[in-house]
Amino acid sequence: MSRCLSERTLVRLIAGNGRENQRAHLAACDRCDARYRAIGRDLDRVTDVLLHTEPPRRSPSLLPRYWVPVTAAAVAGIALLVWVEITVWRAVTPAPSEEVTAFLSDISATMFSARDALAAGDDSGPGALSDGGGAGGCSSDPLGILGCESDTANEQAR
Amino acid sequence: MEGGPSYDDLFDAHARRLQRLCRLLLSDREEAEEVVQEVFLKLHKAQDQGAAPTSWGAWLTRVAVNLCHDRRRAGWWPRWRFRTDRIEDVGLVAREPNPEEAAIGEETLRRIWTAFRRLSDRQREVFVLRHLEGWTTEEVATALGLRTGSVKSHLFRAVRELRAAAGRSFR
Repeated sequence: MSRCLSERTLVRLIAGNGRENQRAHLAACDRCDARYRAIGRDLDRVTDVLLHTEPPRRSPSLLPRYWVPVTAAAVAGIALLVWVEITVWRAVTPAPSEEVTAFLSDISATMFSARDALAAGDDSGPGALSDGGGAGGCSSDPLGILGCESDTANEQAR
Repeated sequence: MEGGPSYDDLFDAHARRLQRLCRLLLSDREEAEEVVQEVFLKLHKAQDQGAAPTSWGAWLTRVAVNLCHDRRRAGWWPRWRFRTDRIEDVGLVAREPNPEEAAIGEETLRRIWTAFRRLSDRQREVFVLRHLEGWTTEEVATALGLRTGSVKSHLFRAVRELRAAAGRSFR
């Protein structure tokens, strides 16, 4: 005797599918026939339930009714924010890198022009700077921003 | 009309059966009632036009199944909108279980109905026509416009799901 039929095959046979050799096995095998009949009885119970009982009551839950519009609204809100960020916000905000670059170039231009002016003043004599006021006699930092190299050197000597 | 059953005879013989069929396919009592009214309106017109099908019962079933199918495809919004709060779905009054319900048990009943509702529309139609109405596979295929292989495939899936829902407590 060939191997007994699987549960899946038995259901397939009930549904009208299945091969001839499987039907032949079912006709010959008492064990498979008993399992086949058991599935048939289960289905009879199912049809009894569907025909003769009322479907179970559903509770009037708010959740299933409102989750779709709430989710849709949330997705729409997020999409709107992304759109504002991509189109509107970037359009009105200048690119920060250009601004910074311009600022730095202004600063460096100012510093180098001041240094050149001081270098020219040094050529005219050692007392020229202190007479002009400058940044308190400091040659390396005429604007008083970075600190004076000569002052630092003097402090270290002390 | 001569020879054939009268409108009233057909109504008496099939109205309750069609009501149950439509309710199973639509899961909604009110919609099922509307569809059954529509079915009998079509019957009235068909008799006026002198139609004489081999079996009025099969004709009525086919019309009902097609109308239910059209209803489900008509629009998801109204069905979804009122799905959860039909007044008749709310258990306002405690109901005595009938003998079948008492024998099977509430949990099993709930599982079977849940599995049935989870079937696809096609699976539900095929199962109802094949197992509840007792049609042959070929009749189901003709009525639904499917190939017999397709009917068997839908039926296999439906049987597998329903048996899984029922089998746990039956075996």
